[in-house]
Amino acid sequence: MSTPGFSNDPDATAADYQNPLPWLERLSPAALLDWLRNAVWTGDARPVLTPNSAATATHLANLFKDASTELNIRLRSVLPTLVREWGHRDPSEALDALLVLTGILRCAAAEKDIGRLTVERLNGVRQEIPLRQRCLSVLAGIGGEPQTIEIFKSYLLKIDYTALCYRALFSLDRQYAAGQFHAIVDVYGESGKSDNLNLMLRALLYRQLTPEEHPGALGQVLEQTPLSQLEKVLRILKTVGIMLLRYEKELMVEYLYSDPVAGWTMGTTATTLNTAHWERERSERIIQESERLFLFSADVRESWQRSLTAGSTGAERPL
Amino acid sequence: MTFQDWLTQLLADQHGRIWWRKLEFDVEAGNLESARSEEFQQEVEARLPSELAPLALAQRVLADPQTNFDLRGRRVPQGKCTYSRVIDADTFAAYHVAWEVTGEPLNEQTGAHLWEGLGKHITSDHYDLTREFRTLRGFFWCTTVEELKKLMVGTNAADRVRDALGLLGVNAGTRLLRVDVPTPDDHTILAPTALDQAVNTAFMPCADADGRGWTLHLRTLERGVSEVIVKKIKLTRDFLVARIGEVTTPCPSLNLDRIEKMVEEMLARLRTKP
Repeated sequence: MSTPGFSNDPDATAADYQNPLPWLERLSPAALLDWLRNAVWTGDARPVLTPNSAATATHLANLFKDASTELNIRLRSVLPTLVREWGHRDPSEALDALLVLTGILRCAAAEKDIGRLTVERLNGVRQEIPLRQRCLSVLAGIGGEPQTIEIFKSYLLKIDYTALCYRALFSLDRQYAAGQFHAIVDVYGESGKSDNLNLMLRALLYRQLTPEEHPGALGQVLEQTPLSQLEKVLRILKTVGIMLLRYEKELMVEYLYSDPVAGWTMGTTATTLNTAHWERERSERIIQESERLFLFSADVRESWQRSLTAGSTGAERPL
Repeated sequence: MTFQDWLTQLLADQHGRIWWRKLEFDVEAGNLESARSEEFQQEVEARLPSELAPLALAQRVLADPQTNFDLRGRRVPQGKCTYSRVIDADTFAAYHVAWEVTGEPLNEQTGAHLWEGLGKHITSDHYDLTREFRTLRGFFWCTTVEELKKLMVGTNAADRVRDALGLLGVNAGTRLLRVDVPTPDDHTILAPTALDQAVNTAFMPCADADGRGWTLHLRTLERGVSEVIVKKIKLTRDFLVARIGEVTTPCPSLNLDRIEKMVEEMLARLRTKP
């Protein structure tokens, strides 16, 4: 049954409204571009109807998960074009929707265009910061190009973007990220956002990194931290449930972190920090500071555990 | 091209006819002031001739932020109660979680990440408090917490919720969340009208005394649950988010002929009422 009153495309049928994917599969690249532009700019994606429980971009992204390889290839050529088309006078919501779609579909073909947008085209735009955050979060999901890594480095010490850039860099250039740890601690401190540092570090340590990666990553951080900043860095690690212990001549990492499902867990990692190639002064200083900060009696450890329970995930709060 | 020409074309199409009859019902039942349909006519006329198909033009007029057809209904729910919005996890994750705080990338895993972490490492601390809770229009759709909770009992809760709430287009694999929305006493909450629903066929107008609308059950085409629209509002940490479940069945197809007949009958009953 033809439904000319309901669609801009006279070929769309009632069946297409029930299952729009075959209709989308039939679109030429040019028609797909027009349709997607209209969908993203106005929210009118007919014959795809967005349910009241969804946003257009997320609904479309879910629909495309079941699309053919051919349609996905066409989409990946269309999305960067639309990113390039977006201009200062266009609605920021349209760009946001486009970025959501690009991110969920992990459209790597748009990486360079999103990078250019992030650096060059968002200055002075309404919603500049949220849009740049969106760009960086999409780049963090798809990015790996050297230019993208440079973008993360250039925004790392701007507090609105620090978490996104730091976690991306921890994946893409860990040595660099580890060397910047003390610097981002300062950025959070100066912005009065230490709570946010805590949330970011917990996500980085306990969900991005595997337990096996911890000693290596912590070693990289401690190795590159200026000696004058060591105490500050160790104190920050303590707030996210990490302490360093001296065991004979070795440094061990012990974790005390929350897992509301399993309950509070505390365990000592089996691996030690590899400090063999550190300069002697650094090893001694870390051991000295660690003993001062982390040498607990049972009472102190219990109180530390309580303070972490109260202040970390807020699991008792409404969800 | 005149408005009458446009209307003739609209009525030649089943979707257009269904929508127009619902609008007529709302005006004749007093759910909308007649001035609203006159305003709508003026807005359509101002855009004629148009390359857009008739219902596409109607949709464009209603969604245009300059035209202000949001929340124009006259029926206000009686009595205080808490409302809940059903939203899919991908949408909540993309728009209402402040991933820039934890530094999470946005990709195909984001919805699943929220789903798995909700109530564990993702809490109200992670809400994005800067964004408004809304749809493309300046409001969002809700039912009562009480009714939603009843639907959530037992297995396949997400399928039951999808069908009862008339969430056309929600397919297997979609993870549904319930968001209980605390609203101030003076916040605008209304029964929806045909101007609010626009082209969504899974909607029925009504003139019930309780001041609420009701959803169209996707399988039975009978009354689902009560339904209101709530003016857009900033998310706060007091919003309660909980998992409903993952939809396991394809979305049912709507029988448009039956829906059209239902609307015609409702309109006829209204017109023959003394």
